[in-house]
Amino acid sequence: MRSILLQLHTGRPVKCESWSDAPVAHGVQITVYSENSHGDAATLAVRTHAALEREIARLNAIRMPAPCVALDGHIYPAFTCAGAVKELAGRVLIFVADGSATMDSRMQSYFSMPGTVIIPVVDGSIANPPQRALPAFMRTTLAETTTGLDPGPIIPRILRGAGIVGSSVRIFISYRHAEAATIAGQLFHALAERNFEPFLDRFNSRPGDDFVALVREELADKALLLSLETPGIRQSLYCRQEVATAVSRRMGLIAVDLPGSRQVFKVIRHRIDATGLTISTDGKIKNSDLMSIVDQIANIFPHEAARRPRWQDGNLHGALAAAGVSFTPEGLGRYLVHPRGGGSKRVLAMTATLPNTNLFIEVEGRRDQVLASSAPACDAAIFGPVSAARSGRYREIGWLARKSGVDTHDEGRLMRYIRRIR
Amino acid sequence: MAGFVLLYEQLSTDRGSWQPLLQHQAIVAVARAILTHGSSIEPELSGDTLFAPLNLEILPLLALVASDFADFAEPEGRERPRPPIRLYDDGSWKDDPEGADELRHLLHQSWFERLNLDFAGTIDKYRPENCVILGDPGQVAARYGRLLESFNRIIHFNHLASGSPDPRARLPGQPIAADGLFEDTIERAKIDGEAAPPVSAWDAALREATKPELEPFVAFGPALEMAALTDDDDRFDDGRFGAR
Repeated sequence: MRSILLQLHTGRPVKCESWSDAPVAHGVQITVYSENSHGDAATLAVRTHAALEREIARLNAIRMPAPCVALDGHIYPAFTCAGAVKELAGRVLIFVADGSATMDSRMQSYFSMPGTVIIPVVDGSIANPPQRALPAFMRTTLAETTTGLDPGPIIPRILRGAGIVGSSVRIFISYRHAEAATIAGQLFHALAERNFEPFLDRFNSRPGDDFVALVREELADKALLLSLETPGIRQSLYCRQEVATAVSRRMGLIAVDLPGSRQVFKVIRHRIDATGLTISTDGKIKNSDLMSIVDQIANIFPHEAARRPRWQDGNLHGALAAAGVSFTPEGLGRYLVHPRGGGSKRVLAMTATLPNTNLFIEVEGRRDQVLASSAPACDAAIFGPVSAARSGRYREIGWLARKSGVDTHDEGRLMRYIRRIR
Repeated sequence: MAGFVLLYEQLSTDRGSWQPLLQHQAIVAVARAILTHGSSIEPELSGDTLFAPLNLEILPLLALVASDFADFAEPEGRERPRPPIRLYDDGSWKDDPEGADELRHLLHQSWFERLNLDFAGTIDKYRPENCVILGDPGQVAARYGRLLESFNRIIHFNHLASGSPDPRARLPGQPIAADGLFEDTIERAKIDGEAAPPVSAWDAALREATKPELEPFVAFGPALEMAALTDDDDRFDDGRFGAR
């Protein structure tokens, strides 16, 4: 099972938690480290750890206590615990520098092993140039720099550096080809340099009747739609369908109002005003303007990208609360229901996209855990837009449902399902 | 089997309001709840009939939902029995000649059946029992007036009201604010239950963090289900609402 062990060490081990079903290629141990428990470096380490927790939660990973906490009620330093954790294949050290250029020798030895990823973080108030603040063994590693002890801007890079990828950083750029193709290309490269995964549409042919499905497929794994609003965008069939699809799939939404924008898409509230910038004769904008737009996108992104996980969790939690059933939250969009009168317990999961193999494995595993803990019976169900599944995906979902014994239901009947089990 | 008519009025809101997004989210969730079969385990089109306005502002959203319920369902290649959504003319597209091309692409015959009737004609011919207002209830009441009296049940959403003092007073009968009903039910559960429902995983995760700047969360789909689609709806016991 894919997993992350996330630790906070400020002078001593402070927090440790494990995350399952996170989108990492291999299990990974991530330690956010500062040498001391007080001072600016410790503050930055705590903030970095909290930001990582939020980002991993947004990837729909499930948080559980670390094995050492569950088994011993105690947190161990990174260098003693990881060997006991099954399937952890990688080590990541996020070293938050305090200016002393020192590190606990045992930790240094542990994180000096080949294959370890080290991400130094240095705030501008602590050292400049940042490399001076690093212990000798990592001085050749390029440090991430922060200002004002704010780790926000570097979190996407840390996630990428730690090998955590997923739909959470995928941005679909929606634009009218005749008006903004060059700027869209500039943004594509600038966003990629900031460790986002931007996508430009691939369509350049006359739309047929299947363009709704084409747009839906293209946006299926994206977290956010970036609309480049130009004067004639209303005439673009694709742009309108792309925005509608993003709304329907609870994606994040950001608009860049380019010169002449009429703000056609009123459903997009987070807007970047670029109406005053100059477009050169070759259709380009100045690099400084481009960087300003990308900075604003990076600032808004975490807010808008939170819409989908919030929807998954809010719908399921609201339906359970309104139905008056007894339940326990187990993660974003994951709940264990305890019906009154001693009926079968139910593991319920909600997804904003089509359920995939990992989700079935996770839900089946949780159901089996509940059964193993002496519950007389336990069922499991997944809710999502399953009516949208076609051909191969439909067969795959049906097969997974039969094999795992986990029912799948369209999200459109969530309340009706839950009211029947109360 | 019941008929549901969607009434859409574009919200006139201040720039920067979240309401247009909420309105579009409501359209998707409501259409999906009505079209989803309530008891079949397999994804299946419900037996209820959904009437919606032929309006370019929302047609891309409706096309998306309709296509989910219209295309072939594997593995047997069963064809869904009918276009999921029936469209009545609300007059809006006549004012939008530029949208004719878009109309042509969106009006796929497996997604929509175009009735060539206006709202009054649709009510007269099909006698749908339920009306779902996807806009400001006051605006809708002002526009459609007594035509609304023919419905057994009128459902609206407080989150889409544009601020008139008591919009429900202007709607005939006993309109139901589905989101209000949903939220009241949760509040009642907190008061009546042996223990308040646990906070959501989302709220727990963000307890010590800055909350993202997003629109208010409204569970439009479950709220509509609770107001109009649950089998054990016992709020009305005088038989006024007929079969659902």
